Amino acid sequence: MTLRGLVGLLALVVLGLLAWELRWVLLVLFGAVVLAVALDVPVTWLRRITPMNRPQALVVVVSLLVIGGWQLAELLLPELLEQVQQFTQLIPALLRRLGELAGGVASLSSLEERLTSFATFDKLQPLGGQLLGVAGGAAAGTVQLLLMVLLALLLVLDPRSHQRLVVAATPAHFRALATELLGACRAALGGWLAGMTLSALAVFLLTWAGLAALKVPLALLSGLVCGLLTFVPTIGPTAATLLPLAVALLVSPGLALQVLILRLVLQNGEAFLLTPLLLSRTVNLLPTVALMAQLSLGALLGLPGVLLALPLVVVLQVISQRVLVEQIMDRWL
Amino acid sequence: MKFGQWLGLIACAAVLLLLWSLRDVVIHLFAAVVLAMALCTTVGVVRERVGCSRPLALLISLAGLVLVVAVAIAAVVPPFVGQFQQLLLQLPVAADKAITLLRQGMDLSSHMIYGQEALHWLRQGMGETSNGGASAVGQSLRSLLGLAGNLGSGLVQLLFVVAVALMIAVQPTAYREVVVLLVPSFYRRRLRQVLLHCGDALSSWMGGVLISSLCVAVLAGIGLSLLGVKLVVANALLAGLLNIIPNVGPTLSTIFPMSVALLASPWKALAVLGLYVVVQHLESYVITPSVMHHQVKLLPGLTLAAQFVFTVLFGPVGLLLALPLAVCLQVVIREVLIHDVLDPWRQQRLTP
Repeated sequence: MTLRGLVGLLALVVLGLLAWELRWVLLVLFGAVVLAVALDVPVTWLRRITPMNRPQALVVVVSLLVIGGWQLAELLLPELLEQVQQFTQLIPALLRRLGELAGGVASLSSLEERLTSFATFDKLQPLGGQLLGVAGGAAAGTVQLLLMVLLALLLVLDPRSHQRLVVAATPAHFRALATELLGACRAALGGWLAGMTLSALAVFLLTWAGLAALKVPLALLSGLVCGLLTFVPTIGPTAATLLPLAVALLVSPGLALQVLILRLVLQNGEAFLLTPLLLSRTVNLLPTVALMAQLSLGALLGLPGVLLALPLVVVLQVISQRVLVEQIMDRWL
Repeated sequence: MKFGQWLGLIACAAVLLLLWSLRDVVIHLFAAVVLAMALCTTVGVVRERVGCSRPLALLISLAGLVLVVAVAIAAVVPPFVGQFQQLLLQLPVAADKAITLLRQGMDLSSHMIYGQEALHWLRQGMGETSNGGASAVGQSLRSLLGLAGNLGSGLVQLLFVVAVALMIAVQPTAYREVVVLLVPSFYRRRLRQVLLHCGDALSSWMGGVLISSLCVAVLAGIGLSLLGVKLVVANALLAGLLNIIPNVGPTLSTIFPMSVALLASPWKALAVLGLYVVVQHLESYVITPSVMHHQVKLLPGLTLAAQFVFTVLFGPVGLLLALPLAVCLQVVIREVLIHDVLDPWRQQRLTP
């Protein structure tokens, strides 16, 4: 091994360690890339059917999104606000209801007593500190989100030159493959996002309709939450079920059972019928791989890792299929 | 070595480090694989007997499993819970009695195990029974919250393991092919063989453990009812369940019946101890060797070492899974390390 190789190797190791230290930044960057792909799909489609250039198409898409969001918010916000207010009023009632339901268990009622006795003044002080920490975290999260959106817009404006930059950073004999790899990743990610958007929309509409038909309060809010959390498979829908379930429990346990059955049917239909059908042409993910990835990234990176686990797995699958399996392992005779 | 090889070496080291930091996830994945293997074995038996397609066989075996578990729960749990509550109530009394006896001369190790267990149960018992008592409130609340947290995370982990096991059992070949794709092409055929060997070893080990656990439960039940100890069903079930964990499990399962018998009289406790020692030796020297498949047999020292190592590495879950892990590792070491790496090594050194 020559000195040149040694220096290159050392540089790569240092770079890897640096990337590990900066994994939060890289996560934000990856989120920006995912967002950029999500924006790029309609932009490309718009450019194909109209003679617009890219910035114009982007402006059209973003303004359409903003207007659509605004319209949706204006349409839904009063009702939503009312429902949210209703919900915040309902939480103590819900706790009481739960306490009543679990009244037979002596330890639980005493637990509630002790929980209330916990809220004395001297114990509230660390809570205040925690609250400040939460506020700081939320502010940092907002800044990161803004940064992510800005980065995504910049990426969508000129994807070619960013792609050239990445390709130029690879050895000459690898550049053709790198270009192809980026294209494949883009296609897989775009296909996944499009499929998941359709599936989330279907879940949102079906949940809303089902909950409204069952006359559960807060149907819209529950439907929205369930639809949004569909983007985080397996863990998201399960967590999303808790909201309508808790609300329905307030009305009657029978209704809660109906809601549970409705959500189970919808969730399993989405996970085992709709999503595989929508994704079968573009991305082929084994269900366990998705679950394991969520768990591993959750352990490594926390909640943002869980949220971005699926797109990351889609990209990683393409890369390992193209590079690890086809380029290295298949040729290793 | 060339640049590419160095790069591969460093990548392997990084992957190993990553796996080490994710070892909790890895051990849960292994638990899911073991469970999926059990399901697949059942499916294979059903297919052989009935001669239907795989999805149908999977459905049949799942339904059968659910039915068996439901019947077992319905038949065993109500008396078990009643007896167990009684056991929990009696344990503090037995503990008081036993501590005085213990001081007279039991060895240190069993003392340590006993003390921790009794403390644990005592704490739980206090959390359930004591409502008044200002000093005990905070402590019992904390222990209750901790217990609830542990129970919650344990339930989530169990749910995860069961879900992954079901997913793997639906299409086991797809997962095997993914694993096979990740090794160099010259080794793929051989790895598939090794994986199949591992599966066979695991399923024959599970069959053996099932039979020997049943035998231990029945024998312990008969012995306890002959001795006239109370809480026969609970103790026999415990003995059978804890038999899955060798060495540690039988020791733990001796504690409960002994403490119950201690309430009646000290000589009865000794008789129970004798009974359990006899049953344990019968299991390890007669039943297990005759039901375990020849290639799955593990040396006793190896078993203990594996338990120790995996408990240190993975915690309590590692202790629970030490035996399946050891069975798999044995197959992998025999096939890959000894047969494929070390055996040809000598020829290579002689030829040049």
